Amino acid sequence: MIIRMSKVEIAGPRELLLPALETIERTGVLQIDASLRERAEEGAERDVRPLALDGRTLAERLFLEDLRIKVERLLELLPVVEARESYLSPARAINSVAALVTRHLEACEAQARRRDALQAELAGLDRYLVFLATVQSLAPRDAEKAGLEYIGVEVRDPAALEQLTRVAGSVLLGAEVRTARAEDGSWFGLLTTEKELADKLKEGLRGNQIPEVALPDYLAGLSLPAKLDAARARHDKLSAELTALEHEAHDLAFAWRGMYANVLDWLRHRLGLLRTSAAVYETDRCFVLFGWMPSAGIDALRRALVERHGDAIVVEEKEILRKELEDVPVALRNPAYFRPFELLVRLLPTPRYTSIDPTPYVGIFFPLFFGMILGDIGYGLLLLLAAAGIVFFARQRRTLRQAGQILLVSSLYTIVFGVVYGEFFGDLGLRLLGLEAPWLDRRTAILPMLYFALAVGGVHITVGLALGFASSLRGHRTREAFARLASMLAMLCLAGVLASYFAPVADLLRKPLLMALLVIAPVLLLTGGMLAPFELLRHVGNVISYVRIMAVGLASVLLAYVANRLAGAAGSVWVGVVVAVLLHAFNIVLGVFAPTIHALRLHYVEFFSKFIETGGKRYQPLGKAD
Amino acid sequence: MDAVVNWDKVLLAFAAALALGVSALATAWVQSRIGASGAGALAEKPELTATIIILLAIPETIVILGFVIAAMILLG
Repeated sequence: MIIRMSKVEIAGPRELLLPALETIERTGVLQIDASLRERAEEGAERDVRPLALDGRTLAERLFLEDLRIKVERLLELLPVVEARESYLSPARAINSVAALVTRHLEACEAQARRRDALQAELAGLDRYLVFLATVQSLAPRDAEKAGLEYIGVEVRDPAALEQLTRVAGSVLLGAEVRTARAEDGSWFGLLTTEKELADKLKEGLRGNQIPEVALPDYLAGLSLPAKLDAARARHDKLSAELTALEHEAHDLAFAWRGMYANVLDWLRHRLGLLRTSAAVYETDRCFVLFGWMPSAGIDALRRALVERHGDAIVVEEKEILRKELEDVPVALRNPAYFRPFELLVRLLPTPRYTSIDPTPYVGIFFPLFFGMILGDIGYGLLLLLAAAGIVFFARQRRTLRQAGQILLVSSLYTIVFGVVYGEFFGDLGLRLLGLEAPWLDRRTAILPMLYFALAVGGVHITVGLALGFASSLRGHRTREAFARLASMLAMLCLAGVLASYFAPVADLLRKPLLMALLVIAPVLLLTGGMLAPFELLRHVGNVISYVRIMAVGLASVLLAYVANRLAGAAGSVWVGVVVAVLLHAFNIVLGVFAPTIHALRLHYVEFFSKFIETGGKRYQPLGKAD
Repeated sequence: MDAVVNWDKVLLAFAAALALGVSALATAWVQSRIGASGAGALAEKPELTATIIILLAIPETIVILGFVIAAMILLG
C-alpha cells in the first residue's frame, strides 16, 4: 500500500538550523521540498525568503569542499589494502587532517609521477631488450672495429619487410640488411653500413616510413653485447626502484587509508547537511523548512526534536492542497509476504500518490501465473532448492535476496500446479512412478487449458478494472470512474454470454445479459466518449493475451516430454541419463525465464494499464536518500 | 496400394501452419527491430529496462492470436 504522507513545516531559531537538520537526518523521515512555494509566496508579507548562508557557514562549506576533493584524490592514489579501522572523530581533528592531507597528497603525487616515469621507461627497456637480444646474432663480427655502424629497424608486417629489402637495395647505397624474428613474433632488421653513410641511410628510412629503433643515449657508443648488458642492468635497477616505491605506497595506505575513508564519509555527510541549507527558508530570526513525511512519523520527529533542542523547534502539519497531490512523494509499505514483489513494481515508474500500490496484486497473481505456466513437481522442487540457496547466501544483497524470495513462492506454486497437471519432469513421473494427471493432462487437454487461461485472464482484467474504478473515485474523477465501471460490467456480461454457449444451465441467462449489454452501451458511450467501444475491444484483446499461459506451458511440457523420449531412445543408460539431464536443465532455464517474462508482461501491459497512473515521485528522506 | 489423400485435413493443417507461421514471423521481425533499438536505449539509460521489456513483449500478442486461430482451425 501507499503510505499516507503529510506536508509539514518546521521552524526554529536560525542558529539551531544545522543541529536541527542533524536531528532530522538521524530520524530519516523528512523529505525536504523547497518547491513548496505557496508558503514562501504567502510569506512574502511575513518576510520569508530563501536562506542566505552567513559568512562562517559559507567559509566552512568551501573549506570542507576543498578538503573533500583532496581526500578523494588521495584515496584514488593510495592502493586498496586491508587498512586499519579508524576510530578518529573527524569533527574534532579536521584542521589537523587538513594539514596532514596536503602533505600526504604531495608525497603520493610525487610517488605516482615517479612510478609512471619508471613504468614508461621499463616498457621501453623491455622493447629494447627484445630488439638487442634478437639482432645480436645478426651483427657481423668485428664490424665496429672495421668502422661500420648498425641501424636497427622494426618491421611491422611481411609487406614492410619487402619494402625494407627494396629500399635497402635500391636507395640505401648497398647497405647490408639482415632480419630476424623476435620471441614475441615481431620482425627486426639490422642495417650495417659505413659510418659516413649512416646519416643518409637514416634519412632514407624516414622518407620511406620505416621506423628506426632509437636506443637511449646511455647506450650510445657501446658495442652490441655491452648495450645488451647495460640495458639489462638498467632494467634490474628500475625494477628494484619500482618495487621499493610500491612497498612505500602500500605502507602508507595501510597506515592511513582507513582514517581517510572515515574522514571522507564524515565530509560527505557534513556537506550534505550544508547543501540541504539551500532548500531552507528564513525570516529575520528563524529558519523555516517545508517537506513531506509519513503521517505516522510526525510524533516521533517532534519527540526527537524536543529531546535535543527543547521546545525551540516547532513541527506543524499542514493541509495538502489538491494542486499539490502530484508532488507528494510515494513510499510503499507492504506485509512481509508481499514486500519482495516491490522489486517487480520498482522496475516501472513510481505510481502517483493518488493511485494504487499494485504490489499485493502482483504478489498474488505473479506466482500463480508462473506456476500455471511451468507446473511441474520436479522442476518446482529444483527451483525451490535454488531459491532457498539464493535467499540464504544473499542475505546482504537486498535485490538478489528479494528475487530469491519471489522464486521461492513461485516454485511452491509450480509444485502445486505440477500436482494438478500430474507432471514430474514431464511424463517421467508417469513412466517411473505411475503418477497420473488427476484432473487434466496438459499435452492433450488443449481446449480446456485454453478456456482455463482465458478465465484467469478475465478475472485478472476484471480485478484491474475494479481497481481502476476505485482509483478514479479516490481521485474524484467521477466520469472516468463510471466509464471504468461500465467497461467492467460490459466485460462481465460478455463473459457471461460466451459462457452460456458452453454451459447449458447458463443458456437462460443469455437474453438478460444481452439486454444488460444494451443498457450499458449508452452509459459507456456517454462516460467514455466515442472511443469507449474500442477501449472495450482492447480489454477483450487483453483477455485473449492470457492464452500465452497455456501456450508457453504447453511448449514447456512438450520439451520435457521430448527430453524423456530422446533419453529413452539413446540406447545406453548413461548416454540417456546425460541427454535427459542436459535437456531438462535447458528446459529449467527456459522455465525460469519464459514464465517470468510472460507473467511480468501480463502484469505490466494488461493489468497495470487498467488502474495505475505513473508519474509519482519516489520518497527519499534526508539521511536515507540514494 | 495407393494411399488416399484426405485433402480436407491437408488444407486444414496447411491453414493452421500458415496462421501460426506467418504470425510468428511477423512477431520475430517486430521484436528484432524493437530489440535492437531497445538494446541501444538501454546502453544509455538502464532505468528504461521495464519499459523495454514491455515494448519487446507487446508484439508477442500477434503470435498468441495466431496460435489461437490455429487451435480453432484444428480443434474447432
